[in-house]
Amino acid sequence: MVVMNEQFERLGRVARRELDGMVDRSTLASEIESRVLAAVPHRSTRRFRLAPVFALVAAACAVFAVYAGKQSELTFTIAGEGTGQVSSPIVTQGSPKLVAFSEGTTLTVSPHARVRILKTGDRNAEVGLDGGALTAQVKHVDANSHWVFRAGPYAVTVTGTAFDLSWDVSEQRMGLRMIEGHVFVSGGTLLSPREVRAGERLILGGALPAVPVAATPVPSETPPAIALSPHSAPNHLLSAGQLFARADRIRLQGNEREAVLLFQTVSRKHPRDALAGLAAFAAGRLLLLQLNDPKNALVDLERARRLGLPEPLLEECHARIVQVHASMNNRDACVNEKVIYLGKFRQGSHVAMVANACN
Amino acid sequence: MESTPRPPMAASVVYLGGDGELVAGLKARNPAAERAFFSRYARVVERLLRGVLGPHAELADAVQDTFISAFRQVHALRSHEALTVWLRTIATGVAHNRIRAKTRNRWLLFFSPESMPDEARAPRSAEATEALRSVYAVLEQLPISERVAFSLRYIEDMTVPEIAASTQASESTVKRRLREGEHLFAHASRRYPALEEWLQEERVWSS
Repeated sequence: MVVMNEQFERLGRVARRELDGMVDRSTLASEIESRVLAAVPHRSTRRFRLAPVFALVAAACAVFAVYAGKQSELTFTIAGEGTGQVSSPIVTQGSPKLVAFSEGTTLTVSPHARVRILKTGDRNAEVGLDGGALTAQVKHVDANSHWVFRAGPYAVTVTGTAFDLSWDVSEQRMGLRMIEGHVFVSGGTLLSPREVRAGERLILGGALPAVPVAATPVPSETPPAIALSPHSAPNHLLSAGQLFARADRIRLQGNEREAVLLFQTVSRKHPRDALAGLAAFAAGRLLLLQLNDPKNALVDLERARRLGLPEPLLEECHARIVQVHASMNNRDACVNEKVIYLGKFRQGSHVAMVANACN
Repeated sequence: MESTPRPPMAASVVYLGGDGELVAGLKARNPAAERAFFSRYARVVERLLRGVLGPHAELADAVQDTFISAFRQVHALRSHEALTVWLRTIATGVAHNRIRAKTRNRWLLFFSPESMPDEARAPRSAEATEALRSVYAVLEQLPISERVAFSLRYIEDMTVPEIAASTQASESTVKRRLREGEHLFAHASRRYPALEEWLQEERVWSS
């Protein structure tokens, strides 16, 4: 172990040296300093900077007060318990609870769930689902009365609609089943808000990995979304996204060969899917780097290149193809691919490796 | 109305005084103290975060999070003598949270060890760069606490008591995490030829 510790220490020294050589510190420090200090409010400057904003807000409030009249915040009652308090948990045991808001919205909190009303406005509220499921019927007041339902890292933004929402704490999985209307879901693994319409269902997350699953129409008799489990369904029933997620989970568990098969399934059975190229690349990369199988890796890497990849991965894909040809002593092909790579990616991160290949 | 121009953000900000005066200035929300605090400690924070998180594009965000947290929490700091340890604790917490968030979204980062942004890349040698990438590819596979302990010990070169203070854990817990991290790292590194070769090479040189 002493020898191993010495190795780790040497490795650490080299890592430190490399890390220190990577960034122009003055540029980085300057960038961060500007950002950090800009984010800290300073009394002297903030007062002046925000003065026009305050004036605008005050004017807007005055106009709004004249236009809409003064309205009080929503209140809500919990069946059997009376008036509810903001932030206090509403916990159900064996039976559901009805939460009724003063403007007409109702929440039916399913058994064994925990909900909090995080805040209330004059026409809307923010609801936190800490765990379990609920059914919401949000009354449509006007287009600007957005309700927000938070489930883990996700936010469901609603104007007026009915839906089932669930949050599985242990699986870190959100389920949404739209009954009527439409909502926008954001946060968590979503890179941009996603619209979900009546008759559609959305499952987001899962223990690992957290992958958005395409919204799919469901018949009305389908059980609540919380019962869905993309982890146990057979492969042929899964979408490309679900298959990709399963493949990546298996990869992380260390079963590279099975992961390769699943990635290949995604790229071959769903060639038009946005994940197809990525899946082929993942398969090729695993075959080359983990399973030492350059011949089959080449097939998947070339497929990935044909299907299309984001720019940084495309650069690596080209480089790996050079690497494969070099390892298989395909000198002519290696030189050809090398010329292509160096022509396309002069600043690529694999230039050094490619330049030294098949010399 | 014209807004009051902010003082330049030059690195040459001078704040006369030791950490005691600096902390007092921070608590009073003195902009000069904030700039001086950043100038004095940015490198400490940046090094720690880069060592734990690796050379990825979110470093600036993590440094920013650390200082914003520090500015918010400074009123709770009782002794200026603990300033460095306190700041390291905040930075370690930020790093911990970022790794946890990354783990949740690991599918998005599947390729991250080899997809570093161009501006953060100035490779000294292909082998060393591959080795560095492999180090972080292996670290990605470690549980968060073990990864943080391992990174602080071997990449940041911190002692066990320093790690204990930064992670707010006991020394025995840190030692246990280090043992586990070392074991897992050694096991996982076998699957990375660049790393294995590099380790072997080092072994030959050192013998």
